[in-house]
Formats: sequence, C-alpha cells, structure tokens
Amino acid sequence: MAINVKIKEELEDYLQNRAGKKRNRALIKTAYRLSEQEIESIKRAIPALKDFELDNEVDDSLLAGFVIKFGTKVIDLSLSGKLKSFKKLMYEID
Amino acid sequence: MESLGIDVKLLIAQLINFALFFFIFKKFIAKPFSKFLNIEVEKEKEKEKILTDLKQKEEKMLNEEKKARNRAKQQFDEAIKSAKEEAAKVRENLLIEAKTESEEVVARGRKQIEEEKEKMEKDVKKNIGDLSIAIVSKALDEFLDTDAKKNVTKVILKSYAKKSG
Repeated sequence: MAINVKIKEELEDYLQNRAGKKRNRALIKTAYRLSEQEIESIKRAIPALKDFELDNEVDDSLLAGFVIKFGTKVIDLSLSGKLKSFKKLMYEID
Repeated sequence: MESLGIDVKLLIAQLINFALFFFIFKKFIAKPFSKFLNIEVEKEKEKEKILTDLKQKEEKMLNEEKKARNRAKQQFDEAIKSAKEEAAKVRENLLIEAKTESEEVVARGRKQIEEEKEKMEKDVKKNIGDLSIAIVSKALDEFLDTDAKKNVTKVILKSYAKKSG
C-alpha cells in the first residue's frame, strides 16, 4: 500500500521527537545561498526559530526575501509572495 | 179500344208487370242501390275529409319544417358568431402572450449580454493583472542581482521585525 510521503515524513518527525533523537529543523527557501550571519540575523528577527536548525534551499522563483517552513507553520516573506498578494488584492477591487 | 190497336189484357198485364217490376225494383234494388250510393257518397266524403286532413297535416308539417330550419339556421349563426368571438379572444390572448414572451426573451438577452460583458471585464482585468505581475516578476528577476536580492531581503526582514516587535 503506498503511503503519502508527507504523512510518512511527519510520522518520522514525530517518532524522532518522541525518542528525543531529532532536533527541530526548519526549511528556509531563499533566492540565493544564505551566509551564517544572515541565518543568525533571521533567527534573531523571528524568535520562534530560536530552537530550530535552518536548512537553506535556493529557489529562484522567490525573486528576493525568503519562505520559512517550520512544523505546521509557514512564513512567506518573499517578493514573489508579495506580488501574489498584490494580484489577489487587484482581483478583489471592482 | 181494340179499334185503336190497344190490347187491354196486354195493357193490364204490362201494367201489372210494370207494377211488379216497380215493386220489386223499389224493394229489392232501389233501396240497396240507394244505400250503396249513399255508402259511396259517404266514402267519398270521408276520403275528401281524410285528404283535407292530410293536406292540413302536410301544411302543418311544412310549417314546422320551415320553423325548424329557421331555428337551426339561427342556432348555426349564433354558433358561428360565438366561435368568431372566441377565436378573436384566443387570437388576442396569443398576441399578448407572444408579446410578453418576446419582451421576456429580449430582457433575458439583455441580461445575458450584461452578464457576458461583466464576465469579459473581469477576465480582461484578471488577464491585465496576471500580465502586469508576470511583467514585473520578469523585470525584477532580470534586474535583481545577488547583492540587490540581499538588500531586499534585509529590508523585508527589518520591516517584519518592526511589525512583530
């Protein structure tokens, strides 16, 4: 029986946490490779990431800024995200 | 008498003969004959009466027939008149219905056109929006080098920190 990949990952995370083996990890996507300093400044600016280890992934489609996924939360501070919000706002205006 | 050539005996015999004949005729022929004639006359009268009755009846029947024909014609004319009036009413109703329906069709058509126009305007707006965003994204993608991206990221982070601070 094929198991959904996302469910499998979350189950692994949960079990690892229960076993105390895995530290909290968060994924940060940026348009360019972040330096350590930049990662630290992001952690300082977002206190919720204090206990998380950030994995950096490069995604050109973001243009600038970043997207952070940790746990079930997502923080979208990318330029492409802003443009999408602006597009949505334009649709709502008559 | 004999010199005149008249035979008295013969005469008397003839007279007796005649009397007898007369008597017999009157008793046995005249009465029945007269009765027969009366009967015939009566029959004739009856026939005439019957004929007169029949003629009267025929006349009456003809009159009745004429009256019946007139009544039938009158009824027919009334039926035709009523049917014409009914047809006129139906025609009028049909015209009104057709007019109402055509007005409804026109109104529906107008409404549809308005809806299509609105939809088209929305689509055009959406397309313009999509196109604008695509153009801006493309332009930014080409314009922003790594340093510019870093600067923009710094600015975004600063404003986020200010907002949540």
